[in-house]
Amino acid sequence: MKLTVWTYEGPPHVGAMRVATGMKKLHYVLHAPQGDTYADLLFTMIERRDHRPPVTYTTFQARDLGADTAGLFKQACQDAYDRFQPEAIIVGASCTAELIQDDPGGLAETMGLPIPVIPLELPSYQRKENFGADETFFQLVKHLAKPQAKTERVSCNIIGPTALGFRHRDDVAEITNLLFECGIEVNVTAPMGSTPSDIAQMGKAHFNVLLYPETGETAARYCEKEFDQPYTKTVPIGAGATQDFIAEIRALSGSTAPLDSQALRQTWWSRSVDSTYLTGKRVFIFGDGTHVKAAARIARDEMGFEVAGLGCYNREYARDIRTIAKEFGVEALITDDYLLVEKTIEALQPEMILGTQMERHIGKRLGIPCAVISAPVHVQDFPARYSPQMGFEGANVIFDTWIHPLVMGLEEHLLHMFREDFEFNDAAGPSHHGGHQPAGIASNPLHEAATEEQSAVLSTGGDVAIWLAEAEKELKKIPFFVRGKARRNTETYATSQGLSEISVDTLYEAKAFYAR
Amino acid sequence: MGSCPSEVIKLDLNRAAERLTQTYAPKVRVLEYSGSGIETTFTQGEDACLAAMVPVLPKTDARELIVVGALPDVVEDQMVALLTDLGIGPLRILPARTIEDEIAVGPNTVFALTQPFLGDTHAALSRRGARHIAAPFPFGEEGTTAWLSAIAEEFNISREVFDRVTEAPRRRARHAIGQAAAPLNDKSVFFFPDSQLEIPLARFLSRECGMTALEVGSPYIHDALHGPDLDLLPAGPQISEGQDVDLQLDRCRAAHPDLTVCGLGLANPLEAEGFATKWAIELVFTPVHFYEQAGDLAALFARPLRRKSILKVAAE
Repeated sequence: MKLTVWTYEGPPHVGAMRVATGMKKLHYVLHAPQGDTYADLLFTMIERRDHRPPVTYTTFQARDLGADTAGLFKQACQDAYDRFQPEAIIVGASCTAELIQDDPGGLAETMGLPIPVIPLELPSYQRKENFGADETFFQLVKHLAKPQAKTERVSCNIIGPTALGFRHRDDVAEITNLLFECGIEVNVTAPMGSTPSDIAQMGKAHFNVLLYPETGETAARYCEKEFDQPYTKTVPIGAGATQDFIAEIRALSGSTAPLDSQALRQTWWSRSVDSTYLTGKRVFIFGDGTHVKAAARIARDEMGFEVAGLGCYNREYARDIRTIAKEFGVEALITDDYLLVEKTIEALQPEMILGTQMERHIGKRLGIPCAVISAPVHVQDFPARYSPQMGFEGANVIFDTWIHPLVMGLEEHLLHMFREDFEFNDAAGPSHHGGHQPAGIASNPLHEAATEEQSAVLSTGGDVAIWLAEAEKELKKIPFFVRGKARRNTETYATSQGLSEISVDTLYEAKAFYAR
Repeated sequence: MGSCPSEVIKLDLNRAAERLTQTYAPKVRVLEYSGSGIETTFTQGEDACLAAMVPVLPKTDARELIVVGALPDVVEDQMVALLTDLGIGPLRILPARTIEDEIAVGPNTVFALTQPFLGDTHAALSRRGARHIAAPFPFGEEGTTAWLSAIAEEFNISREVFDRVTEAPRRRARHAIGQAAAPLNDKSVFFFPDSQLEIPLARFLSRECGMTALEVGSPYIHDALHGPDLDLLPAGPQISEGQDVDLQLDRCRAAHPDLTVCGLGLANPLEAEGFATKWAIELVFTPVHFYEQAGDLAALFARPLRRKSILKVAAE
């Protein structure tokens, strides 16, 4: 555990809360001080939940520390059972309570409650939120599900969705419908929307559809071993992945039902002429491993972008992401330090970022457009409208979401032609974004302040070639949304050629050098 | 700053701070305080931080006023202007805006608090010999007038000067509250414990906005700080100290208030049950102190009720 201004993942007990809050009739008794109760508002405020998370905090105080925190825990557990009458209880400790070593699991066991009480061992100082959710769901399945006769008709479970997930609500609806069209029944969807007694029925399904490996893979592996249920390996995000996913479930189920792919508009939208301008746009991708893997494939194969860099914050997926990065010929960034992510983006100067809530902030600061592809996300990424990431409709939603932050195809030319005009000036930004200028245009002190002074020789830093005034002027004629790249390319080119000054000629030499 | 885990494992940050100070003195002084949530609410972090500064303040025998509590710059400027116009000084502010601002404390120091959650700072200043000017907190026209008046009395400012300086802003504040508070009149309010602002705010809503308080919950009640506001609060509401959220929710549902003031963890669930809520954290982040913000303070509480009356379509 690290204390910082901002983190991609919370401690593991927040993962357990995501499982409990997504479910019904399950209660989580959490040994934790008052300060940890603020975790509630992740769910009630950010996700706009209309119910409190089903969590009882023991809220021990400093004066309890030398005394009977164990008694306090037992009392909280009994009160929670009496008040909420759940079908099952999970018990565990938060980061602080882990240190006082009260063994909530053992304490709860001695109470003899007439329902399953499932202890969670979540090491707060080694692991994080996704691990917490994955482990909690695994423990629930292990304690509650038993081998059973399979359903007569072919059926599957949908595994992985939780509270506070990125578009889980709509992904589940989209995939449930897709399975229905294939003639496959959904036996149980879990953890989100299920009760402990539903989980007890999971063994009846013929196979499992694993939508979110981050939060469901351990349970999926367990079911494969114990209940003879194979599980899907493709996460259906993007048109290509959805087709692969369909092939996978057909093989698992024997379904031959034809599917109506008319709803998949993304493929045509991407081929239509206005999309030409998307070609080769350099994007940086960052988020959880699963969403980054999917986004990289969509970016290259379905949007025609160039992936300039990618990475993930959950180190459990470091190996996968490094493999992908190798395939894309870029360096993988595996880190949970947002400052390092910001530095990397600043150095790469992509034309667009596909990231989490934090990359959106970074994009705002650097004046780079950003679309959100992965948790963690803020309140505006829990939309009222149907907005899945998975399946055919998910592919459509992703196309729209990714192009929205960009300047539209024809508009790029208008902006260039009328760049001196008050309405289309360099700082105007995309016309559908209400007139605020990209932050980087006016507030890039290194570059812009220097040009203001119109001095004969301009410097941009230690080991970088010096821009002559004429070249700097010429650079200003280049549209703002490619200017950063032109500057960077020219400087790289000048350095590689051993030039100490950048003239107008250098600028165009570099342009020709990097022409694609 | 310590956190919950560092408090439990008894990490000696005090020693660490002392050693760092020895290394970096005199340019930098390192102070230690706890921001742990083990038994504190979030506003007490500010209290702990200010309290940590008090023991290292230089000593003085001068008769000075220290106003304690972090305020938005614009509000602090208004306050300084009011006190200066009254002829009160020398005036020091804790926290000072820059480290260069001289601030010292001693037996002739008197201090006033602008925030009701500064119990530890109050104790630390008292230990240095300073004397607290007890007063209601400067929320609303009445609260601001009472707060200023207590200080004016301490400094023997004449009634005439006091009236001349405060007459115009008082009139503006009353007018602004009158405009903003109409939706609050004759409505009931229930406070969940959150920031220790609850008692002064309940006093403001009861006496200046025509509301009836049903329950006023506060995480900690401190007589020296909250007494003057409690004295003004009309009889009736249950005053509760500490947190037991499930029992408090039971009481709230039974009381069925028109407006519930609570933390963000409870606001949406209560709205979904049909209760209008005001989330309390906004009261800490918005400029609400002194005359010129009195109308804004009333408007913060009125907005949820106005909104509830505007929205026509709800799910079945």
